[in-house]
Amino acid sequence: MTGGAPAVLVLDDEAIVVERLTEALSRAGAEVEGFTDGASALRALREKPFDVVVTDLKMRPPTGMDVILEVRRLRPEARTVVITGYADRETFEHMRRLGVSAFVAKPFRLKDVVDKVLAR
Amino acid sequence: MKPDAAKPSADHPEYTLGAREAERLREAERAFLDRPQLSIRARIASGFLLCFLLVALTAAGSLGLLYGVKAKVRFLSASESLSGHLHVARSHFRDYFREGRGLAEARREAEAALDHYRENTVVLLAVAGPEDLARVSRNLVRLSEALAEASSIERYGAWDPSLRDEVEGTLERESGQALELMDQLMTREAAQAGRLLSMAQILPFASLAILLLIIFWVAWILARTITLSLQRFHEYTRRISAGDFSPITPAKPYRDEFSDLALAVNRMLFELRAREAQVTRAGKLAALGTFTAGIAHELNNPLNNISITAEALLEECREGGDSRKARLLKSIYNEVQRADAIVRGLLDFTRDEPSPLAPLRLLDPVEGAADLLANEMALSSVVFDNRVPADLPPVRGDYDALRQLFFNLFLNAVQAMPKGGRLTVTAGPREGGGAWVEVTDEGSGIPAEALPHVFDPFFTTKERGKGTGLGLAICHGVVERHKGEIHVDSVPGRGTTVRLLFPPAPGPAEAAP
Repeated sequence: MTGGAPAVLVLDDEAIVVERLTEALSRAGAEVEGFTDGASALRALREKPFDVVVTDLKMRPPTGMDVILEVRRLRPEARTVVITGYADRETFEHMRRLGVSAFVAKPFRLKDVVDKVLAR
Repeated sequence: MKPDAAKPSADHPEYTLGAREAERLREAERAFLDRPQLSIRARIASGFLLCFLLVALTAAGSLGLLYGVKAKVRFLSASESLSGHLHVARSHFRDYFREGRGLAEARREAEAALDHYRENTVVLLAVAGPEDLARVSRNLVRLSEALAEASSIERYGAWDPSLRDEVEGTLERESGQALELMDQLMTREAAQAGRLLSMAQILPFASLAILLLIIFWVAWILARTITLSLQRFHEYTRRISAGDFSPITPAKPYRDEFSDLALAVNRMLFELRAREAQVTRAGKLAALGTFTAGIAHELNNPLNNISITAEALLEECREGGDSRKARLLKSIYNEVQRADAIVRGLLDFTRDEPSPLAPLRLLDPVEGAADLLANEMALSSVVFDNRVPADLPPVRGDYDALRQLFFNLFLNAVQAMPKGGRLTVTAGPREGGGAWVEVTDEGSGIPAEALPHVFDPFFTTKERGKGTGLGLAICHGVVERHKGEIHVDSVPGRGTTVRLLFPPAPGPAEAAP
């Protein structure tokens, strides 16, 4: 982890988003695992420590919010990047209180997400 | 056009329905006012006046009749005495010629009759004609003279039989004539007095009957006027409930209290129509907002997918040195960004989680919006004339939303004046709190037939590609959220004025959430 390639979990119910982000982050040197459903992502989280979790919020339960809560419980030091369609102020505030590191609004540029994920 | 004319008041149906409808209302009002006034109150008053006049005439008539009767009675009484004296005088001189005594008594009575006549000349003259009276007076004088002659003959000598016959004849003739005339006059006047009395008896009843007729007539006319008017208004309410909001037109050739009611109803109809238009528009916008928000949300994900895929491909092409493909991909990428801008605009328009309203100065969002457009204004040679006073009472507002509102209005104004012009913003306090703002340009204006649709989403008068048709719809949404009003007035070729009305900011206690 520290020093080596950061372990990144990507979760979005849009397969294309997971695919593109996985490619882009891998090219940038990260070790990426992508998921399109919350249940698999939660399973992976419990099996392996991730340094960064990139997730969408709105999806079939368990949602991105559940994943973030689980990350905070398992590894409070892990960074979290939230991708949102069109978040309202309330959600933003809630995320901020949960200690979410960065937000990305859809539609986003791959480069922005990569920058935010690899930011120290 | 006229930023300082007509201070905005609480309601502006004129601005919602347009100048043509306002003119229609004024025409209807003129039709009501350009008629002679004949109020129900005046009609009731004239009815009462007529009744009073009749009663007064009756009283005067009765009084006149009674005066007439009184004169006749006095005449009859005077004539009675006169006749009495004459009768006594005659019986005395007849005694004298039969038995040789009573001449002095006859003379006394004749003198008394003459005196009585002289004393009562006025009373007699008031009733009998002067000719009749002259005859009576002649008879009386001759009677007196004949009696005086008889007296002197008796005192100084003996009666010559022929002279005696002559004197007796004169006496009989004169007294007879006088008595006969008096009798005639008395009979006539007594009959007349009787007639006058009968008239005096009948007059009150006759005038009472006429009075009743007048009262019934006036009451009938009034009742008819009122019930017919009420019926008409009943008909109007039926028509209005059926949805016909066209103005009431005058039904009578004169003006009365119901005309004022009709004017008020017309005013109400006008305002109802403005409200209806506003409510319909708000409902349309709400339904459309939900619909649009759904579509925008659904479009967001595929757009994002296209965008990031194009970006990934673009990156690969650049690394591989394929500049032609890179250019094509760049086009795809750019078009996706454009589609995204539209989606973002729609989401802004339908945003349902607004930031809370807080007291703010209207000058701030106005200046904020003008700053964002400074370049566009300079390019189009538009002079920005900001006359919003800094000490305007604060309104409760969302700065970002209000800046967006003024941005859209200013952008419309600038785009309407491609060859330059003046963009004026004026503002002032409203009666009863709150503030009004007017944004006026000297641009191309909006055609009258387009005015009712300017707040409809996707409605635009700009050329293709220049506007989304969401600007004023967003403005309308912002104003609605601020519980304000927005009205557009425009004269094609001269310019457009947008008038905004903001409610007063509540006191500090109420403002705290």
